[in-house]
Amino acid sequence: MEDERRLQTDALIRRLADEAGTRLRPHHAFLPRLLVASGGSLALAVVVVAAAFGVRGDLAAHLSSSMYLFKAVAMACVVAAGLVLVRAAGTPGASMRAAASLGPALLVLLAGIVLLDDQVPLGGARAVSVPVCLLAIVLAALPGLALLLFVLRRATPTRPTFAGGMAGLLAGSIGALAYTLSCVNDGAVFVSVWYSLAIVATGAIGALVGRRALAW
Amino acid sequence: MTMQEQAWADALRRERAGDGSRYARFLEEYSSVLRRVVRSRLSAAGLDAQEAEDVVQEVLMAIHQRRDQWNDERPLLPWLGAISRYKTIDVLRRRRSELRMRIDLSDREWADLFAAADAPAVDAAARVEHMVSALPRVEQSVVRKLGMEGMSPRQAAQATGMKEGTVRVAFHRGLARLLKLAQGGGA
Repeated sequence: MEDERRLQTDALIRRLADEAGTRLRPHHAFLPRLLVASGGSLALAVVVVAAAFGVRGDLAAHLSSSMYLFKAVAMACVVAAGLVLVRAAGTPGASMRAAASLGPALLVLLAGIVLLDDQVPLGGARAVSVPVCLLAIVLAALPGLALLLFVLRRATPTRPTFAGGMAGLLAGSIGALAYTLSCVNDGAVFVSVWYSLAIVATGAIGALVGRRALAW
Repeated sequence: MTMQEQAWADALRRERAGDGSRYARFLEEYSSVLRRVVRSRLSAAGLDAQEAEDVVQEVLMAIHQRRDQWNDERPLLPWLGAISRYKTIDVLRRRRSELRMRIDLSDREWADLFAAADAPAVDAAARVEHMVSALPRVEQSVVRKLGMEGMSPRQAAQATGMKEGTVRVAFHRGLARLLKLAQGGGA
């Protein structure tokens, strides 16, 4: 029985070796696909935010304020970290030092809390601020999450739950970046706490879905 | 980077240029290393070391399918290790659930087969053999491979060139037909 299986393995090796040189796709196809999918995710997130929650009225004037800059730069930093982490999650044996890429995002959030003097309480300007913020970011993130999981499937995620979580983190930060167009809560603490929570929630959704969707 | 890693990385690069013999040597060397590791892991976990060969085959196929994704400027061993770890866990998990499914089926259906027979137990094997040989050709070969030789659906699929799904379907149909034969009082 065992010898028979060893013979099967030998036969398998011969068959695989016969296919040498038949696969000529470049190995670095994952990153471009990931970037394209992220761009698509951002576009989808903007559409969801604009359609369901509306762009804030004074956006044009608001864009140059330090508060908007803070929100956008902080979320862009999380997006950048998400790209690094998703790429690592789709590459077998990649170093987990990729997690250090979250450092700049945390620094920007901390710097905002310390430096920006706003009067917005943690609960936001209105009673519905927090639920709307969380819901908007997660909803804006979901189409992108599907896109990112699809791209990750074609890479090689050897830890599907982790990879799904990282895709969720990236999608969540893209959703948050889009939501800055709508959000009227100009508070550094508000953004640091609730945006981050929404991103983590999207990460959890990604991990749950990825566990099965990313198995191969 | 060790000498061996260097040699393997080189073999994978040569594979891209169509060098089948260097590639085959890499696959052989890696499978013997892997076999040793997986065997010790399996026995440490109290599992049958015989399963190691299945794991080795799965890992080889996974590496082969994704060999173009390895960036040849990056170390090879972590790449191989991560894929091997994933496929090992995957095979064992699947094996456990398959086992559960197979036992589930036999609990009910094989028991019914024998309950239908008033014949003494010695006759049972002959009766089963008789009924199995009455099955249509494809179902018969799948039932023999899965139910009697203990192959996994995937192995049977490889052996017969059918799709794994087809094998599963044929196995279920075959069992259903056997059940009917048994309840109908023999073939």
